[in-house]
Amino acid sequence: MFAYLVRRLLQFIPVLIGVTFLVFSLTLLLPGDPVASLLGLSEGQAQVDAEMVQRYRHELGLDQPVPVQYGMWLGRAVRGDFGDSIKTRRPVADEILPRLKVTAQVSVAALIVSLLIALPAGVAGAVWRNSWLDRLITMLAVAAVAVPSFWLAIMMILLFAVQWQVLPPSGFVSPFDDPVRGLKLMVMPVLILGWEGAAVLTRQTRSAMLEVLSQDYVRTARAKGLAGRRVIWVHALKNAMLPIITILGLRIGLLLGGSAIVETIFTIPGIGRLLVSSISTRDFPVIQALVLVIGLSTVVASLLTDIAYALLDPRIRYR
Amino acid sequence: MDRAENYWKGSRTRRISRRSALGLMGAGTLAAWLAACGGADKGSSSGSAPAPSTSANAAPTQLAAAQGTVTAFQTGNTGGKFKLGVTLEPGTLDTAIPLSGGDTVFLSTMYNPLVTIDHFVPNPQLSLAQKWEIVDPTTITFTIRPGVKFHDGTDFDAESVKWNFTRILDPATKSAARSNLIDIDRVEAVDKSTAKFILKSPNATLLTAIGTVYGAGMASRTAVEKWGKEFTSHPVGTGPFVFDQWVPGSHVTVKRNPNYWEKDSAGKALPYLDEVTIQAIPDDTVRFANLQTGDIHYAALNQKDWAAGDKHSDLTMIKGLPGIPVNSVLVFNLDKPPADNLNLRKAMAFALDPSVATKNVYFGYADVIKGGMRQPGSWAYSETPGRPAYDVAKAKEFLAAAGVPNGLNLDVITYTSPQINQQTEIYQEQWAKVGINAKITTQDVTTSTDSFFVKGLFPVFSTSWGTTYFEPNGAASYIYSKDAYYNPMHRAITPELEDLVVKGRQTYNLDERKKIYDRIDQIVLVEQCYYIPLIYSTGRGYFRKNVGNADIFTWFAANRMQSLFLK
Repeated sequence: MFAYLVRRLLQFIPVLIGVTFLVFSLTLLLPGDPVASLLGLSEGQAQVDAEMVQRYRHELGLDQPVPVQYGMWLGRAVRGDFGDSIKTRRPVADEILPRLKVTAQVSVAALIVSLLIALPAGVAGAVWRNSWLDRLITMLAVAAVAVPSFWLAIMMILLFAVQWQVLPPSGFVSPFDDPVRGLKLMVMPVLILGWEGAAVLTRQTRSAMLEVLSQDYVRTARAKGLAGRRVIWVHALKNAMLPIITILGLRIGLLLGGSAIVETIFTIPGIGRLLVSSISTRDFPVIQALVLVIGLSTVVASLLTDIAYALLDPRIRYR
Repeated sequence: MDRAENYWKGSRTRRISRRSALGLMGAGTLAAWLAACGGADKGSSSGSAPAPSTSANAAPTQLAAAQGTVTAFQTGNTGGKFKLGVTLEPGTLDTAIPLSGGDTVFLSTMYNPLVTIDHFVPNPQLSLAQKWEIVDPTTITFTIRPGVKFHDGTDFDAESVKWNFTRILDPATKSAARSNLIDIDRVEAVDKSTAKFILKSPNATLLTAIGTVYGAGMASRTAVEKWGKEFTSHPVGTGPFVFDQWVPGSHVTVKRNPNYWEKDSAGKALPYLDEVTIQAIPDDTVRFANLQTGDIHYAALNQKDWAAGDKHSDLTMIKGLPGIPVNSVLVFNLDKPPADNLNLRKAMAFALDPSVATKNVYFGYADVIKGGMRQPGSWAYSETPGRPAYDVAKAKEFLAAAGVPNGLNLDVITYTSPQINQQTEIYQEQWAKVGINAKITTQDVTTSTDSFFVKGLFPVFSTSWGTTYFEPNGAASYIYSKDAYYNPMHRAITPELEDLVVKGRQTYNLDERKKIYDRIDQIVLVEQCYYIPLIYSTGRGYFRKNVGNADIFTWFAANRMQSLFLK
């Protein structure tokens, strides 16, 4: 296991370098003068403030060869220095970190909801294949993929907040600061994100379970008199978990990138909402840092997925 | 006739002293703002017309004495937490460098300018200045209110005024207010309580440009020097509320300033409220939902929710001033074919019937503009000369005169917004009827503004505007002049227009000024067919019924949040 971990971590390094280089190269792809874009200046303004642009170019090392530029950028990025937001003039890291915490809280909760829905539903769909329950689950899963989250969000707000007045319509308070209000505010966005994720997971769980349930060892387990529940939840599900974990890993990466739509509608100050507002104001330093954060979260999620594979399946760690 | 109309009638018949005339003429807060809106942020304003809720129907004191202090309409209860929902979160909390008009609502809680604008009476009113005196056309002295302190305990005096204006006028500060205050040569602190403004040239709009927290609020020098560029999130002013918390992407909370200098007419200390939280809720439906559930006390609503807002038993509707915002405007780039041909510009303008959009896009809550960019009801308003009004025959005549009787292909740019997109598609259909085959390019508001006004990539921009201007210099300085940010040609449109823009700013006599702006409209709408406003509406804001003094709350300029109270 240890050797596998080390090997996997070593493989992680080139991926990391690749991601950071791609993010860095966004600067090279910027139309016009990248310094002007980084400073939020139009071409005309950049000409007027030529001296400042030149000074900034030198400070950022953008007058150096590309590999040197990358090295300097990486050095700053590792220290969390992504420059200042063009919009707010505050350090980019100060803009992103508090929002990352918010997105992480919502994401973890959404993931838990996804699993709580998907595992029982997927297993039930496989065990009672082609029953009315299976069809209902399939229908709900298709609906979850097909119904746009913005519509669902608005409908839920109108029903639960305006009509029945059981939940507050929007906003975010950390459940660690104010558990009651924090959890109430989380219910709708977490259900929407959780349901959305559950749809894919349910389908994956169902098909993986169907495959496993038809295998000999399951029949053997039943034949030797093990309880049905134990066969399904312990013997079968464990072996069906690999594809489920793959989807789960992708989902973690996706959720940590923040859901732009759900965060915007529910006014959750997460990184998805920050990304949308940064793009609309062309706040390049923030966009660059966010792309890096989202890229890294995907890479880390896939690393964790691989580690989970090894834990679940000994064949992988001995390969 | 509502109270707003009464006011406008009153103001036009009143004998106007030179001082109040200066104020009245200078009532360009909106102008200042709107232009500054885009000026700092590469044009975010031209697109997203802010949803205003200026309350026109409640002129509380009518024309207060020219130098009166605005006072609360009704004495309220002290205490309570007030929440309001706005569309945009703030870009900064540094009063000198706001990035969009939406920042004003946040800034006005924490900062005071020297003079403030009573929105119903577009006159500068006293604020941190106790008196002003126009010594000569290029010298104004302000007597500073004694005993005022910044939230950090430091004194506010004439030196603070000098320091703040020096900071605002320093190009390195990138202050949004700078372009409006550029006629100020320097500010001198004569003594502790007297600040003298020396102008480069007479400017009839200057006093109101000073009278806005949008770039000209007074900040604590000690705090600015202590926090440096982080002052943007550690604001310290003299305003009614003290900064408490800014959760980016969510809200800003401010708390009652116990040492605030202003009192209401009964002598009771202001502000009444203990706390104000301003939440950024970008989605219109969600903002309305928050208002309905009582999670917020105030929101400006989108037209689609007005009927429901009017019917709601827990809400009070506050109407804004007509002409805010301008929902539809057509801007031509006179250097970009085919808009470089006057006949073709006229053909495009005459082919449009905006009334189709007022009915179908705005549910009848909008009006067709007949004249130029002058606010309906204001002293400068005139429907003559009128803009090119819908006339298919004339459109075809102009096409023929341009040598393309069978029509032409046209690239039109617009920005992402459901209403703007729908009305542009209506125009596309109307143009098709005269043979103009329009291809629409849609970009986000910032990019489209940059593409059209800065880079000059398109011949026509179908966009919106924050306001018709009750100070007509607004449109003249920010759209028509050669230095205007929103002039896509970046050159004088005609030498005469350029002269008139300067003359309009420097003329003190109202009748003369009106004639100047009539002539400006003649050039802009008819002779050059450059900037054609099509549709305007009257914004609406909605309050919960338990909010006191809601009717004197104004969305623009001085928000007077110190006068609001909870019943």
